[in-house]
Parts: sequence; structure tokens; C-alpha cells
Amino acid sequence: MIHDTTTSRGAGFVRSWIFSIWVLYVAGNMTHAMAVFPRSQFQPVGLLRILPDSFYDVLLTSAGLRTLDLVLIAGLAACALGVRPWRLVAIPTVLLLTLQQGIPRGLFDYMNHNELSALYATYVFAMFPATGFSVFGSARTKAESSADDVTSRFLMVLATSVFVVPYSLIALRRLGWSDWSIWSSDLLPSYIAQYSFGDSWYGVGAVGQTVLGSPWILRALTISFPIVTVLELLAPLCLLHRRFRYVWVVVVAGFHISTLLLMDIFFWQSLMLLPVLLLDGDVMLRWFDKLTNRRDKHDSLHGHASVEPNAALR
Amino acid sequence: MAAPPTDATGPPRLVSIRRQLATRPARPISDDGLDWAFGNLKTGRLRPTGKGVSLPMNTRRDVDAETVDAAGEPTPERRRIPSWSFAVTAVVLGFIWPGGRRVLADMTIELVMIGLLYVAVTRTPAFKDWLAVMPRSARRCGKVVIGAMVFVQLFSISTAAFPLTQWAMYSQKPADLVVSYDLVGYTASGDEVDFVPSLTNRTMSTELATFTVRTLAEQLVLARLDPSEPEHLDETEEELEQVIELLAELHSKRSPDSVVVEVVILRSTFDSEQRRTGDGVTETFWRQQVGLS
Repeated sequence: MIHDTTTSRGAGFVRSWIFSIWVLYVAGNMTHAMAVFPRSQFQPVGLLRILPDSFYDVLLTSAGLRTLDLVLIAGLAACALGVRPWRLVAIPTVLLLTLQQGIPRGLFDYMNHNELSALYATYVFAMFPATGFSVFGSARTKAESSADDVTSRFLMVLATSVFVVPYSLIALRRLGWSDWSIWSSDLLPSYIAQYSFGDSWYGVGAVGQTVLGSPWILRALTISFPIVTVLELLAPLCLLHRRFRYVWVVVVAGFHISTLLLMDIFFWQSLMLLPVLLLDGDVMLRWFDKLTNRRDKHDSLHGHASVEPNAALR
Repeated sequence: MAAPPTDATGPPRLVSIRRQLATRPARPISDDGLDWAFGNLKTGRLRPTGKGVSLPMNTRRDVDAETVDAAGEPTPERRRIPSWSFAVTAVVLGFIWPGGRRVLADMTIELVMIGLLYVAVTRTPAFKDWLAVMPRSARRCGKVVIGAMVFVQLFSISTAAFPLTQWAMYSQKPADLVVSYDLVGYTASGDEVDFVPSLTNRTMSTELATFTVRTLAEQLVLARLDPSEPEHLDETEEELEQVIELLAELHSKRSPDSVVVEVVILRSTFDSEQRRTGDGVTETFWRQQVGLS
């Protein structure tokens, strides 16, 4: 089972990692410029409909959106540092993050998928107790107990589940709702052409155009498409089988990079989460400790003998 | 605290177990009880919580049942809708609604695959062992989250369920003729500017805005082909004009050294051969002066 050796400190490291990604993301995607769009263009999406119109009248102004951006960055940074009381900070922060994510989607009525897997994993981390990891402070030793580790393992498995399930859903839709024509050799060239010509978001349109002129690469892509679909379908098995998991991570990472190069579509948040959610145990934490000369500390904490039972549901 | 309301003549009433426990007098715990508790704490059958101890799910259910019996209250009858009735309803609806059979068949295939995957994962000993030691509330939370994701997927709910959504990528064959759009901006001095993907504008909002421009352009093509609804054509043109004006304003605010005064949309089409060579047919689809207001 995945994460069966993950410690609470390792889960804390992943928590910091995810919230740090969001800090970078929000800082680079400030919404205040969206105030130029008329209020009438905005239709709240999904759960954001529960908020009254008067709230959006105030929010969708330059000052309102700037305040949202700044408060959100502060909240996310605090979460990345693992401040306490954890839930009091983390839950409002992820609600604000949801709001921030809903604004462009509500303005243009288009459901961008790039950020959603990471958002789901973030919800899980916000809901569970924050256990021992702090980037700048010293590691918690007293509270890092075996009970904390049990909670952390559940947290990590749940976060990994909500992260991998969408891959499976994509494959299910492809298999369940599509006719056989999508497996033809023309599907991927059509998509590559669609995204390579015209405006190129990441400036890599030339790669796709070159590939379109290479029948051998197109043939290889056509063959790989059903293979990738099967691997996506079986994504939940990553929770159970280590070897399958490693194969899956390599294939899916390659898939994300290929969609960037060939179709100008880049799920960078997902790519950043692949190693922290799908590598066993505390691999990333060990690398981090190595970088910051904390290796001895991690090794000594990994064998934690003290038990603080009530910490499990703190 | 007052005793829970009971009605000897009426039907059984739901009485909270917690309220029943609250009204019962506290009893001292016997030595046997303590031995039992410590023994189970050691084996993990009982788990410590912030307020005491919690029992694994099955055990807790047994104890709850005993508590209700011991309290002398009638066990509440739970009215359940038989699960097969949902399947029957789905089949009936599928046959009544136009196109429902196809939807029903696709949904059934998807549901069967989800079921197989669910069984494949949850029936493995490793997963069972792992789940057994997890708190009940956490297990419920996990089921609700995964269940909601699957529900939204099955019923193809997109923006209405945000932050959940339907996941479908590369599941439809695109049209044979590939169409691409280029948004080109021009400054007052006639210089061409990288209107959309400039570094400062590479945000999700701008990305979605340009996506909207392309969608509106496609709608405009269709509206021009169908002269029966001239008002639809006018509406689409007006909307496209508005979005371009706003995008240009956004760009000019973020890049004040290259203020855009005109935006041109180039539309290129590629058939399968032209895709290979990259030589599509390009036309100026839209031309608009911006920043005039």
C-alpha cells in the first residue's frame, strides 16, 4: 500500500510543497486585472452560487480583487509554513482559493482543468491536522507520534486518491462514451494541429508542427494513445502496487510533457505533485533534508518511539 | 435533563442514542471492564480520541445496538428504498427520453468500469488492512469525496458543480478540417505585438479569455452560415467585440509600452494534407479598432 511508511513529518513536507505551489501560482495569476471585465459578464459557477450577488458586486472591483489576492497569498504562505491553529487558517484559505479559482471560470464560463487536481489535494490537506514539518522552524519531536503517523498516512492516501481518480475518470469517459473513431490514426494529429497552429500559449507550436510532418512519430503516438488510456484507467491501482506506480508516474509525466510540447497544454501543477504524492515514504523529504543538512534529524525521527495517542484526532 | 419523549400508543420514534446515553445514570466501571478496555487498546481494537476512546466501526455498531436495547426503547425502523429501484428508474427514463438509450448504454459502461475498479482496489487485502485502522469519520469523508467526483462525472456536470467537474479529454474526434485562430495586435505606430501570449499576460484569466474569443469566433462562423436568425449573428458579433475590447484594455494596462489600437483575428484552416505541410488557408476573420471609447 502506498504511503505505508510515510511519517507525519513527510506528510507535513508534502503539505508545505502543495501550498508553496499555490503561493507561486496565485502570485503569477493575480485576479485584480479582471476588474476591467463588466460585472454582467460574471456568472458564479457551481458552489460559488451560494454567495449573494451583493458580495460579487463588492468583490469584482479592482480593490476587492486585489484584497482577495493579497489575503490569499498571505494565507497560503502561512499554510505552507504550517502555522497554527491549522484549520482556522487553512480552511478559510482554501475557501478563498476556491473563490479565486472560480472568478475566471465564472467570467468566461469555461471549466479549466489544469488546477483542479491540485485543488482537490489541497482540500484534503486543509481538512486534516497539520503534523510535524516546518521549513524554517525546528521539527516537532514531542508530538510526532505513531498516532500522528496513522493520520498522516490516511491523509496522504486520500490526497493521492483524489489526485489520481481524475485520470481514471478521463479514461473512463474515453472508453465509455466514445465511438471507435477516436482510436483511429487521425485523432492525435487533429488535436496536435488544433493546438499547434495559431496562438501558442507556451510558444512551442513549432514542435507540434514539426511532429505533424513526421509520420513515424505520429504512428508511435497513435500506438501509445490506447496504452496511456489503459494506464490512466488503472490509476487507482497506483495506491496498491509499487512497480505499477513507478511505471505510471513515468508514463504520466511523459504524457504531460508531450502535451506541452505537442499541444501547448501544460498541467504543471499536476507534474509538480506527481513526485510528492506518488513516491513512497518520505523520499522527497529525505532529499530536502539532504539539501539542508537535516538528514541525521530525519533518520532519528523516523524511528520515533514515543506515543501520544490523543494526537491522532487532534 | 428531561427524559426523551416517548409515545406508547404511536409509532416508534427516532430517539438520539447520544440523548439516551446522556439521560442514563453513570455507572462505575468494573475491573473486568477496565481489563477489557486496556486489552483492546493494546491490540488496536479501541482507538484513543480527544474525548475518550472510539471503537472500530463494526464493534461500535454492535455496542450501539445493545445500548438501544438496554435502554428499553423500540429499535427505530429504517425505511430503505430498495437499490434495484434506482436501476429500474434509470432504465425507464433511458427508454422514455429521446436519445436516452445511448446515454444509458454509455453511462452503464462507465458505471460498470467504475464498479470493477472499485472492487479491484477495495477488495485487496492491503487496502482492507489499511482501511480497518482508519477513523470512521475519515472513511466516510473519503467515500463522500470520491462518490461526489464519480457522480459529477457520470452525469456530465461541468461548471455547475465547481469545484468538481466532469473530466473528458481527447474523447471526441475533432472535425476533419482543423481551424486555428491568431489574435494579432497592432500599436499606433503599426508595430505588431505579441497580443495574447506575452509573458505578463500568461495567466489563467487571459487564457480563458482567449479561449472565449475562439469559441465566439466559431459561433460567428456558424451564425454567418445560418441567415435565418440575424439577431443571433448580431449578438455574437457584439459579444466578440466586447471581449476583444476588454482583452486589449487588459493588455494595454499590463504592457503600457505597447498599447494596442487594433486587433485582427486571423483564421486558418488545415485539411489532413495541409496539416502535414503546415500550409493552411489563412483569412482575416475579424478586424477591430480598440481603445476608442
